[in-house]
Order: sequence, then C-alpha cells, then structure tokens
Amino acid sequence: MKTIDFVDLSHEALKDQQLQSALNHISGGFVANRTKAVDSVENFEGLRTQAKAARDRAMQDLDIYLLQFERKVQEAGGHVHWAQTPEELAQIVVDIAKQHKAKTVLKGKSMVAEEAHLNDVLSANDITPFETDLGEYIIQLAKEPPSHIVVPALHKTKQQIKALFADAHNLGERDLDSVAGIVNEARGVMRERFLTADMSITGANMLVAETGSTVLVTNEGNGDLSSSLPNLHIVTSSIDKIIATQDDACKVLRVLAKSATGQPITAYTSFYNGPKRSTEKDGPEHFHIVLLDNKRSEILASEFKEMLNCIRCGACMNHCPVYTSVGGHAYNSVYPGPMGSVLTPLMHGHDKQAFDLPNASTFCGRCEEVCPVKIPLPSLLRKLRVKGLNKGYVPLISKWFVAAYMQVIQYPRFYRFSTALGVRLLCLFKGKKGRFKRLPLASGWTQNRDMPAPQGETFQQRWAKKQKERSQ
Amino acid sequence: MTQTAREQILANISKALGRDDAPTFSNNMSGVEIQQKFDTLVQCSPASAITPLNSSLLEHFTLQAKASNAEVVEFSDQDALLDYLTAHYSALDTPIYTEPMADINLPKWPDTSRLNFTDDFTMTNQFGLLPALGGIAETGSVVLASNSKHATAAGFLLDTMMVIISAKSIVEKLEQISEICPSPAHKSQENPSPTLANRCINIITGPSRTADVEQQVQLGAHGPRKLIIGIML
Repeated sequence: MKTIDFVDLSHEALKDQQLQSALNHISGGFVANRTKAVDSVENFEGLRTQAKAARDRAMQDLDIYLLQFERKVQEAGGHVHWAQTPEELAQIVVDIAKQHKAKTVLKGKSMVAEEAHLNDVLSANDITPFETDLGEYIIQLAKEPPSHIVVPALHKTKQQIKALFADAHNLGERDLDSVAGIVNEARGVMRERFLTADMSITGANMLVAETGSTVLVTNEGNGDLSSSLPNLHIVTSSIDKIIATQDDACKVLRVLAKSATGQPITAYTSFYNGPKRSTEKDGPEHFHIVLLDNKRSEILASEFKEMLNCIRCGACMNHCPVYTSVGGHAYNSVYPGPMGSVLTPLMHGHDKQAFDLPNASTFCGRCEEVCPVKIPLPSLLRKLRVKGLNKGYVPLISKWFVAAYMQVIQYPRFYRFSTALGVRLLCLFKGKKGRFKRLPLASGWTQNRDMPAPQGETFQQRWAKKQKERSQ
Repeated sequence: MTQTAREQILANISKALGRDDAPTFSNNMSGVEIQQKFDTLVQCSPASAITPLNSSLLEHFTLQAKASNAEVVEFSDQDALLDYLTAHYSALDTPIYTEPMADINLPKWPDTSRLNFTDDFTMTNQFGLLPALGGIAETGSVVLASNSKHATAAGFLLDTMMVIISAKSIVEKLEQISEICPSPAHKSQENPSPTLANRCINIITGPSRTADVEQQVQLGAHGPRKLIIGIML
C-alpha cells in the first residue's frame, strides 16, 4: 500500500490550479442542489429520522438479515459468496469469470471493487474491464483512482477530459468542445461494448433481506444495460449494505438522491432479483453476489458502529471545507472526505498514515448536519484522534503543544492573561488590511491564505462585555 | 476445523451483536428458523414521515414527471395514441420498437396498418413504446418489470422511450411498489416474504442523465435522451 501523507498531498492539491477550478463547481452544484431538494419537502428532518431508523434496524440484527438475504437470493436461483478481505473478493470474481470463460467485463461503479483494486486484478488475469459509468470511464482513461464516491472524475475539467478522449479515441471530425459532445462520444464508444461484453460487474446501494433484491441507483442507465445484456452478472457489495425490508429501502431512497445530487430520486432505481426467469425476454442466466467484510464486522463491535449506517451519498464531502479545498486524492484512500476519514483508519488499523485523516477536519459540524442518516461524524473523528494519540501516531511536536496548552488552561488567570497579551501583540502588527500574509508558527495556514487579525479583544473579553450589556 | 469465510464473518457479527451463542448462532440456523426470526424482527415498521399529497395522484404524478424532464401526454384511447404517433414518429428511419400492451387495456396493440413496428430490441432503434406496470405520484416515476413480454434492456437502448401507463395504475408513494409488482404468491401468514416473480424491477424517473463533466447536467448518457410518458385516461 502507498504511503498516505495527507499534508503533503494537500499542499500539492492547493497548488493545482485545474483541480481548484474543478472543485469550485461543488458549492454551486451539489451544495445548492441539495439545499433546493431539501427545501422542497415539508419534513426532511422526519425523513432523515426514518432513514436512520431503517439503517439502525438493519445493523441491530445484521446476521439474521444477511442469512435471510442469502436464502432469498438462492431461492431466486442466484449464488452468494462471502469474502473476508478485498483480496478474497477479487479472487472470487476472477474465478467466476474464468469458469464462464469471460474475457470482457462491463463494470459499473462499485466502491467495494475499488477496495479490492478489482480492475487491476482482472487485467492481471487477462480479463478486460470496461468502466461504463462516464466518470469512472474518464478516470480509467486517466489511470487514476476516483476522487469522489458519487462523481469519480470530479477533479477533472472539461478540457482535461477532452484531451483524454482525444488520446484514446479516433475522434476524426467529432467535436468535444461541449459537455454534450463529450457525453455523446462516451455513449457511442460504450454502445458496442454493452452489446458484446461477456459479463458485468455492478455495485449495490442496498441489499434487501426481505426479498433478496439488490438495489442499484444510477442516473446514466449504464447499470441497467450492464446487468441485463451479458449472460453473467456479478454484484460486488459489502455486508453493511443490508436493509431489512423493501419499505425500509424506500425510506433510504427518499433521502439518498436528495442528499447526493439534489434530485428527488435518481433517474433509475432498480431492484435485481436473481438470474433471468425461464419465461423472461432478457437478463443474465448466471447471477452471483460477493459480500465483502473487510473489517466491517469488527467496526460493528466497536464504538464506531454508526459509521456502518453510511449510505454513500457524498453529502459530507460536498459540504466539508477540507474536502472542497483539497479534493479526494489528497486523502489517498478509497473513501475521501469526512466519511473516509473515519472509515480509512478503521479499515487500515495498523497504518500510521491512515490516522492522519481524522485530523483533516475543522470540526465545523456541517458533515453531521447534512448526513441523511445522522452519523455523528465529528464525534467519531474526535474518538479516532484519541485512538491515534493512544497508538503513538501523533507527532512529537503536536504532543508537546497539547501538553503545554493543558498546563496553561489549568490556570485560568494565566490563560486569560496570555491570550489577551497575544491578541494585543497581533493587533499591533496587523497593518492596514487587518490580515497577516506570514506569521511565525502559523505557516501551515498562511502558505495558502491570509490569517485574519484579531479584532482587539479575546473571546472571553467579548463574552463578558455582552453579558454585561444584557444584564443592564 | 478451519472455518469458511462465511462462517467466520457471521460468527464475528453475532459476537459483535452480543449473541449468547455467538460462534454458532448464525451458522447452525435452518431456513425455517431464519424465516421465523426475520418475520419476528420486521413485524413492526417505523411510522411514515411522508406528508400526504395535496393534489390528485394524476396531477401530482404529472407535475413530478415534468420536473424530472419527462414529457407527459394524455390519451383517451388507442386511436388517440396512434394519431399522436403518426403525427410525430411516422417519418423515422427505423421501425418503432414495441411490446404487447394488453395489461394496460390496449388489447389490439400494435396496429401495424398505420405504423412500422418491431419487437426486436437489440437493433438500435430511435424510438420505442413500452408498457409500464404503474406510476408513483411522489416522484413522477414509471415502474417497469422484466417478464415474458418486456425486455429490460430495450428501454435503455432507445434514443426516445415512450412509456404507456394507465392512469388507474398510479400509486401515491414509493413503498407501494409491491402493489404494482406483486410477487407470484401474495404475502400471507404462511408465506410472509415470497420470492419476487420478476428478475428486475425498474423505477424510471426522467431520461438518462449525467453530471460527471464539471457537474453540468447532460441528458442522454447511456439510456434514452428523451422520456415521454403516455397516460391512458
């Protein structure tokens, strides 16, 4: 595994003008659309509560729901496989593909497949994966990992995508200056692949225990073409995607698209129930589901179990000031943003670098506010910081700083005196603009933006003043 | 004895959930026991937080469908539908893909005397008509299911897809999918969770789209560029 160094990668990301230009679209796009979608329903808070209840219920009796799901899939003629590690999952997929002599694969978006580096494993076994989701196809051409769990090529600009297509396709006279041109180009290239590929691999947004259904939500329609045209369909998913009933699945669907893209519901919501029935006109004759654990059963036993409720909408990262500044690749993890900063250290418990990620938070709390299943992300991040400290993963300088701070705050008078002195000193040197371009011990901040100067009083001084005004 | 991945994962989960007999809890359960435990767990469902619609099902369905970029057209009978098709789609280069529509009360469909129809879904048709089992007013979605008459892929290969639904088949909310696509054996005390009849159920809301390029929404990614919903009144 590559070394994760969030700080270094963040510095690079902040200097990358094209990345910054791509990230600038988030606030006007996803954030604004989500706000509009949430405002358009009367009781979004009630819908969040319901979705959380549905996810809580699934996790409370996960073993029974998994067994029921397995039974229902088998009743419908499908096969369920279990993998403890991502490596096991990849091997199971390769073995099934080889049994069916499959050489080409239509691949839909699957974060679990990313955990297993499935494309690399397939290629190493002479099986060619064709990414079918436009964003995934773009990053496959760029030979990069996804930078967002919903929009994998979020970090790419139109010009960069045009250049990738020009390199990979024989464009001729085709014009890719517009978004429509790029989308049409991908549509044209992919059509032939849909009709001729040997097998498909898709992810799953939910697995319904009651019916054995695999739920897939997409906007492009690639998932439905992939799962209907080839004769072999494999679903790669994880044990935490279980939901008890179809009704519970609807409760999650009701908040998922609103939180992810700001749509009331995605263009396509599909329930797959095993292989083609004997009388049906199309569909795969062979249907397999591979369920991955990858430490999830350990997380279920821990104080972080609420993280398993995550429905992968991406709202937390869209609203995170850190993610929207540095993008997904800085996290060097399958899962970026606040949810990734919790999941990554839990999945790579012995990896010191993974424990950098819980520090990639300002604790502003927006991630928890917008989470459709109310995961207390800041609280989980805080617990992980403590865990990192206990494991000895915190740099010595941070430890010393915290130790010194602990000493100071034990003496309130001294604390008030020193902060008041500091504020006064900073005020003296603030200049006309009221901002610092450089500041000793704060270069991490001032490298990329100015530090606002204090306004002349400490927080406690202002608070005392306000209280006095109120009492008069 | 070495445990399989399945046994190990289930044992870990049971242990995490604090089951008394965690190592064997899940692995020794018979199908009947699993079903019984499942039925007990799902007896109660959380109360609905959805506010009731403030307009008729048809009005709300139409409003939501249009908001998702679908075109909605109402027809009084088969002749009105054929007139519409003749006016708009008689000059196509390829035949119109269609499927039997007896279930939505169009028993004489297709009428080949006026238009050129085909039931070959693998060819690259420009335009096609498919029957939907029902509609969902909450989201303006149409519901299609794979069966002996409907090929799932057909709806995704078309450039323009027209879905025909009966106004009577529109339900209020998402949870009513099971009313639109009933299982072969209905839910009963003896068989509370029957296996679904259809391999695939598609809830379709507007045309295919993507926002993967600079978050700009572009219709017609891989599926239909245009969705027309024909409502038989």
